[in-house]
Amino acid sequence: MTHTKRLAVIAALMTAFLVFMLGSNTLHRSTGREVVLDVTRFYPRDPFLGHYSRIRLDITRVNALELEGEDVFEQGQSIFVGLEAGDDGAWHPVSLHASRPEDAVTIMGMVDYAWNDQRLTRTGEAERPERRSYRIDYGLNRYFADRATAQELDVILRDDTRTPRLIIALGENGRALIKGIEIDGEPHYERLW
Amino acid sequence: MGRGKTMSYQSRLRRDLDRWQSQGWLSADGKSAILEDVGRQPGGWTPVGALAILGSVLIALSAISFVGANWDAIPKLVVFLLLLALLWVSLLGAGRAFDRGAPVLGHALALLGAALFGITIMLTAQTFNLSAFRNTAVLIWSFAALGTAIAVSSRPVMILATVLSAMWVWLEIVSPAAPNIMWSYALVWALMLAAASRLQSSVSVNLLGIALVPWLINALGRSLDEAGYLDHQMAALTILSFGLLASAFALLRQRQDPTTGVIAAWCATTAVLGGALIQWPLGEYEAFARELGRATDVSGLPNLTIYILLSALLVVTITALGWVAAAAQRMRVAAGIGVAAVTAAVFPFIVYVDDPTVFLAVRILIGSAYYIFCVSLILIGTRAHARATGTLGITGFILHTGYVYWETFSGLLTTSLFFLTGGFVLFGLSWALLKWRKRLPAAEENSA
Repeated sequence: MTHTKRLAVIAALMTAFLVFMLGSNTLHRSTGREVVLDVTRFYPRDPFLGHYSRIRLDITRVNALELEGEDVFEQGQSIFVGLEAGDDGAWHPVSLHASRPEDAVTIMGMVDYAWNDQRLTRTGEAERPERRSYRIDYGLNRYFADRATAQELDVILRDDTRTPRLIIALGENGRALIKGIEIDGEPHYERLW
Repeated sequence: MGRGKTMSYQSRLRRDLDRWQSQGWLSADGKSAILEDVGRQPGGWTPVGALAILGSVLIALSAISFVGANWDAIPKLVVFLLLLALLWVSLLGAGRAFDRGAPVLGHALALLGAALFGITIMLTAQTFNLSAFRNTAVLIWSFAALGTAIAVSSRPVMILATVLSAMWVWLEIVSPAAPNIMWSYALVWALMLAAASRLQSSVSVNLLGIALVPWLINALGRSLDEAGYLDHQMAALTILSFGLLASAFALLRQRQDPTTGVIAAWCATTAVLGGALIQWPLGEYEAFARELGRATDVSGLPNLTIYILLSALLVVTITALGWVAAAAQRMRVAAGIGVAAVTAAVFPFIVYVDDPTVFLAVRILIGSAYYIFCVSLILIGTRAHARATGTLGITGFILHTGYVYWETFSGLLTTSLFFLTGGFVLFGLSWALLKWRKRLPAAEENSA
């Protein structure tokens, strides 16, 4: 086999992988269940790979004792967070599960950190209600944008009167993909073309 | 690649061969066979090749920056298709260049094509905000580069694959979403080494040697820490493990593959430096012991039975491998390496020494064993094909001498005595080496 043919095979394999990656994510983003989540803060950055905003979602930290479902999870364990749409249009956590429940809208994440922060007084009484808290990584940490958009987002987020939200597409397995952002109720969807 | 350097070497070799032939040491057929063999060997880099490769690197960096800019004037799909087209042009262009006998251009384009694959993955990850996919993407990129390198026997692309595989393991190690101990890198590393050896890429093999050291220290350290071992035990087992790898790869170099000698060198360097470094805190322990009247506040070693069995196994294997690899000087090499390995294995037992005076004596014994080890390496290095081992021995010797000087430095009289003693010791060693070298040809003749 000539060198050209060998490299053509490799180029074809590379193309197949890239097209699969592009196609599967495009399909996921267009057909997945659309969910809107509250965002705590964006932090525009300028790293080597381009401008992006680091996102922290409200649902990143949950207290299992305030939610339905299971309470005990280990660090590094997969977790499914049940979501329900609120009156404000954003979706909020209602339950935690170790495996994906059939009849609920759930987002899959990984327990990044787990802690139990009940504090007792000297007499042994609880100083405040027990919290079985988890920090969950949903793989939704970065929102890539061009420089102008990143700066614009920063200005919006400094303004307490504005309401930024993240629009995601949930796949069948609970995996989330960013679909766009919503500023003051106006959605801005990511476009491939 | 490498035609210029090869030609320069061939020119020198041709002159030497002509001289040897005129002196009757070499036949005309022998001379032709040698030149033909040298012509088949891959060479180093040339200015033309280096410029072409640097051109590819700059174009790849330009593409990375373009993707990073996230320019929204062009739809992402168009950028994707543009990069894909460039990838095809690069790889097919590389293939054509190789087929038409222009390997310099071929290597540069193959490198660009392999780089563009990763950059297109980055673009896709950026388009869909796939932050969690980044590390896996680097591994896939690394394997794609490896496949390209093997397909056209390209050492520049092999270097890219090696760097990417090392980058992948460290991204995983620092990632909270992945385990901190990445034993799976051993498989990737072995695959890369096999390919680098096949392509005779000394840069890749050196990079793999460099990558091996921090990865193994991290993996062993974390594993032993989780198992509850003390720092002394972890240091001893790590040094012994590198000693084992150094011996094994040194043997492999003799038996099968010369490029693995580079890995042996990196492992041996780590073992030699580690052996010197673990002694440095002992001065503080001794001062602590003199204050409290006991050596340390540690009463015993955890996992004692397993530690003894494990370290004994390592010591026996290292000594045996040293004996097998040493060929002509088996006893000397095995004794020197064996003494060092045993000393490293018993090093953690220093926690049981509760008398400060005995502690000082033990320190001196450990230091002496290290000197014996360095001298053994210097002796091995006197052989023509083992110069690096000798250099390593001298480095260890100098390092340890510096350490001893620092520890004993308390007054000019003491320093003077130290240098006087050291000078006599070195003269003595030099004289012994001279005598040994004179005896060597006679011994070799007798054995033959």
